[in-house]
Amino acid sequence: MLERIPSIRKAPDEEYYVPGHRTCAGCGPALAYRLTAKAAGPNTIFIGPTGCMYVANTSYGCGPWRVPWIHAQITNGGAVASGIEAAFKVLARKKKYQGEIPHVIVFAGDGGAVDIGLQALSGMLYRGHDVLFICYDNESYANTGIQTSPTTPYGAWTTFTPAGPAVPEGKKLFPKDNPKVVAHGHPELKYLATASIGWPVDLMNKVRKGLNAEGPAYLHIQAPCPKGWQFPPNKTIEMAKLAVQTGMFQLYEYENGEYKLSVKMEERKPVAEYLKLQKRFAHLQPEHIEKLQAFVDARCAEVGITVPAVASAR
Amino acid sequence: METKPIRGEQRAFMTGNEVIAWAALAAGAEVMYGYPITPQSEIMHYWARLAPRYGRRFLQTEDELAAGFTTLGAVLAGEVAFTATAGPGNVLMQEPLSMAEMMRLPAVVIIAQRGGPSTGTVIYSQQEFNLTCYGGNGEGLRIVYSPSHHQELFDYTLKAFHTAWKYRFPTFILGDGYQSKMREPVTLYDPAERGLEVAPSRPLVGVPGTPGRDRPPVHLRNTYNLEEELYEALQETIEAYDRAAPEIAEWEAYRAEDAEYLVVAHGVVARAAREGVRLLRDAGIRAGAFRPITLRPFPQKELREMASRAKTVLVMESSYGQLEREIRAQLYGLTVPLKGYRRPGVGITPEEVVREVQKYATRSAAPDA
Repeated sequence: MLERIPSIRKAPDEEYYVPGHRTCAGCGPALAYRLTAKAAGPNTIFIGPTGCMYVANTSYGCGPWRVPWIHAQITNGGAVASGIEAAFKVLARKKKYQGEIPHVIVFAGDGGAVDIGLQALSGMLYRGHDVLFICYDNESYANTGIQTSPTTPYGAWTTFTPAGPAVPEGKKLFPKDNPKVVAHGHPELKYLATASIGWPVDLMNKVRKGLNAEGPAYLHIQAPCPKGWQFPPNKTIEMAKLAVQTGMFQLYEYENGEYKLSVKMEERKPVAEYLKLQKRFAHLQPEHIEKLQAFVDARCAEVGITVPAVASAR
Repeated sequence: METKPIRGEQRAFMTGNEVIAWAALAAGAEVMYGYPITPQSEIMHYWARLAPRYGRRFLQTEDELAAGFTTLGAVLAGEVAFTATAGPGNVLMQEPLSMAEMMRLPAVVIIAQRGGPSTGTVIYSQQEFNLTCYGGNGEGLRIVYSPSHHQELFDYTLKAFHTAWKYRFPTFILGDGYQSKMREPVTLYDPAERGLEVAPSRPLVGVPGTPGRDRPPVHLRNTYNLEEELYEALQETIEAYDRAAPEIAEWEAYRAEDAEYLVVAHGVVARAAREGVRLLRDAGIRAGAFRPITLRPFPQKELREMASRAKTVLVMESSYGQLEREIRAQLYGLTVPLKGYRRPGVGITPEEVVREVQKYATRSAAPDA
């Protein structure tokens, strides 16, 4: 059992995701990886479906992991993990493997978890494999040049959703809510949570809870992307915090059919305060922002965030 | 709303991906479906930006299976639709394209070859020859154009829309990462102004009237119950393909009439072959180049004629013998020695062409390369 980490000071010193990668400055997903690896510890196998955290981490045959890592095609992180987990069980049963069964973690982007990789994720959860599937959500296909993904917010510019006279808001669709897709259709699921790099201790503890659960677990981490969202690279954490404070991203655990909120909020900030710091939203008109605010209000209410959005005093 | 994207002739200097987006617009494509993958994503970037100006549409799907099948859905509804992909995406695309083959659905697919197998590289190769020509669980009843420069990317993308809808076979533009990403001069034009035809699309489902009374029924089958049933249906399709083949097959030769050393290459490698032949001729070596423009159907007759006059045939490709195997089959029965130069996933330069031909040439005077 992995113990709860009480504070950032008491987090383990050891790093298992180390320097030597080629991610962009201020990369949110890289920080999510570092925290995940730190929480999971040395007896871990990572599966990395195609995405930024595969491409930028493995250039020229290098890799920043101090634990085993294997690439899977973007379609099938869940399937490769299922195979690894099932094989360890069999090896242990036949006494061909005597050690402690390793933690098996899929670290997939939003494409590899929510879009093309959803089928393999769902199959893995349905069959009850003891795997922690993590989606690091940077809200676009960032490694192929910022194309829209199902988690790209309404109104965001991407190369596939350019804003112009015909489509003034850029992306017209509202994002798919993968934690809910996962939570409500997989009876074998043992643990589900959302996390943010703005709350690192909370994130690490959720990784540990997911790994401690005997059976499949799903963790959805919002990880801001300076390049794709178009904000300065020193603002990554600020962006992560604002996403939660505005309710654009909701932090919770889902256990026994109930949402348990992870941060206490007296009030929410209006989404406009989040949008104005990212150039991907620069084209939005007031009516678009209103539409997005209404959507966020409704999504927050679903998980039990009932505090209203209040503009901060100037 | 403006409907004609190009009026008159326009000279441009652009990437191959941009050329393809313009060609699809000029051909009258109404909708594109796709999923991002390097090195073709910019076709979709340009299309997504340009399409709304001309009343055209774009839809991003969740993967290449869906991109292929949504394209077929649009074709069934009577739209001129297309998609683009590369590498592992081309693998997934085989399932919808097999269905298109079976049901005789026209569709245009742009392939930007990258290194393989699997993720390979995002750069360049010619390793999707087999997959594109013969992929799927069928007989390879497809039309595959292999352009070698940007003007051809434009010309043959235009042509692909015509060929696909005229003959009703899935039609591919087999490009590659080099052609996708490099910039070259190109002349864009409106096909109508040059008198070029683009065969019209018509809806295959939702057609008005009662089938059998007001119109013949549309019965596009993808499943057969008896061996003989499938056999007969396939015979019909194969005959239609064989009938169309001579009208579709295209090739190009460079100084091949009297060539003793015939270099066979396709796509961007054919450019190196041509330049290599020029250098070899300057050095007094009777070299020539043959290039199939259509890989399916293959221009067999012309290649056999030229090959039968040569002392050696040298197949050069950025794959490990995929083209060579095809050429061997096409030249079966000829006694001319056939050599291969296989560079899977790696580009080929004119200097390599010169060097390789010189290995077989009787005169070994080195040209000034």
